[in-house]
Amino acid sequence: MDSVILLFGTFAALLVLGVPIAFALGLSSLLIIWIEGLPISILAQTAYRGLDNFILLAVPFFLIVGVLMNVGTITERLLDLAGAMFGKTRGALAKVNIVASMLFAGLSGSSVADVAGIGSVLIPAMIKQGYPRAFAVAVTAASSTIGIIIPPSIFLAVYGAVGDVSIGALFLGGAVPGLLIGATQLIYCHYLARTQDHPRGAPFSFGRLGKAAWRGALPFGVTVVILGGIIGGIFTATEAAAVAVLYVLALAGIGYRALTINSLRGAIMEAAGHLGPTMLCVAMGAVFAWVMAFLQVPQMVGDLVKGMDLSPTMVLLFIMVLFVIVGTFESGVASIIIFLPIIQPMADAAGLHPVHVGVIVCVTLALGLITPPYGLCLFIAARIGKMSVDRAFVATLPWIVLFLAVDVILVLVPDTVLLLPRLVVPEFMGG
Amino acid sequence: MSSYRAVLDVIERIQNAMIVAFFVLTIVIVSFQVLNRFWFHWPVVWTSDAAVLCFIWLSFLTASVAVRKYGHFRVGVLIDLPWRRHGRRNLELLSLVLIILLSLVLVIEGTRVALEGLREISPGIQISMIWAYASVPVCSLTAILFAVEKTIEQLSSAAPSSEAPMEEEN
Repeated sequence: MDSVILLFGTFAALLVLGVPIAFALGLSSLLIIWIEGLPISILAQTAYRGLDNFILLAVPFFLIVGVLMNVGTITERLLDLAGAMFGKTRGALAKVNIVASMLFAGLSGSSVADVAGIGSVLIPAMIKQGYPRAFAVAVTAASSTIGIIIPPSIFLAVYGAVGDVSIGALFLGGAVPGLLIGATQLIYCHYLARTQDHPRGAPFSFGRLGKAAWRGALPFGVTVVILGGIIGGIFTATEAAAVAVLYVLALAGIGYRALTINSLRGAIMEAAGHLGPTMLCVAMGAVFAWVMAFLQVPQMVGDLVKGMDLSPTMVLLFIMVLFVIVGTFESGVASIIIFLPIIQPMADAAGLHPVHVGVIVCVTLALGLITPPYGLCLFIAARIGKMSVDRAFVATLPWIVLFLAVDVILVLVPDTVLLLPRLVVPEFMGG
Repeated sequence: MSSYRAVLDVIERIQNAMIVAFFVLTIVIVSFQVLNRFWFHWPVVWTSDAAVLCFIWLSFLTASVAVRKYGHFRVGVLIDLPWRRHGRRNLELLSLVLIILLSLVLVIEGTRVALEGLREISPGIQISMIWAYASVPVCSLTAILFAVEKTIEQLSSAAPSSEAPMEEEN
């Protein structure tokens, strides 16, 4: 027990001191390995093995798809499509922001690409149109969380790979929650637009909508490739992601003539900038998870929860609260790798469906993208909106409450998650 | 310091070129795997292993370059406080020393693991596993070099400080 406290205590202390998360994971694990007299080579071996997984290749592929969408004018087309939907309604541009995030989410598995691509266009445009700066930043940050929930999704792919859960079923399970979160955000946005007198959009025209739909239709081939390929059993998630990269490359490069060798190289380097820190977290997360398993932490937590005699719903709420806390301090991918060995036995003992648990975990981790101290999408949106993270966070609070309310509904009503995969891929859903 | 920085610039350029190459290779290999399965039906057993090898190098290379760019994610609880200059600098220095410490352990132990890999052969691509395991010590070594540069920068008064919280995945 002392070693467990030391492991988590050291990790927390290092995080507070500002040591990068991956190194804090590695150093706290190293301390325990050393104290317990285990071979130090476990550190290098387990870090390597943590990445030695074909499914993880989906992460760089999804990252580059997101960046290529921004570089290759696909994001612009999605914005045009979303922009043509709302006409003269109040708060039209804010609603465009949310719908564009939902469309982007269907093509990309990354919220960071979403907030960077959509935010860099819409935040300045909203401010110019007279929206409060804090609101522009908050709606962009909040809606970007949908990017990681509506399939494809890096979180869901990693969860499926690490937890041995069908990725196709997880992707389908994420669809309704993503749409629900988007819908509640649109309703809240509409309410704010009326009460705060937000600016109106341009008049609606079927001609404009038709033209925008035509221009924006081809990118959705990515969704067909990824979801159709995975659900149809044609591709693995990694293969589908690679084919999606080829599709977006062909579309942006040959179809739209928006790519040059230099912009392609820039896109690779931008994706690489996100990849390295994420993957080091995964590698060191694997070491941390190994040390936790050595110290029998999963069994301890499992016994603790069993002793509390909680109902399945309460267990899932407990898992949700755990990931709300973890997600505020940790990268989502690393959180999945570190904590999955703890929650999976707990969820199995409670009789929870693994797809339900996986979607709840990933949806909850999406919230971590807009909550400091580790709210990456919030940071990016605040940076684009040229305001402090503190003020941006305060403006985002109502959206966070809204998100949590939907998350609780997803826990309480399992069919919001499970109905679609049960209908489409019953063979992956068990009884 | 300027010559040390120039050497690191060269190392970073080489690493960036390798990053682009491995990124492209990974996409090409996995795409080939798909194409092959549907059109050519050749019995190919090497693609998964080759793609994972490229991916592991890609991951450790990008993680190493991120050290030079202060690109690793971290939680900015203390570091973002309105410290006087030395408070923040000391935290940065502590962070860098710990990065060097962990990377040093990875260089030593990673080299040991890599040398043991000499006796192992990758089943798919039929090459010695040292080519895969070497990614850990090689990239940890360059991470140390980058962290030492940042440490020297922090120690010198005109040093640029890192930007607060850093960026990731998702």
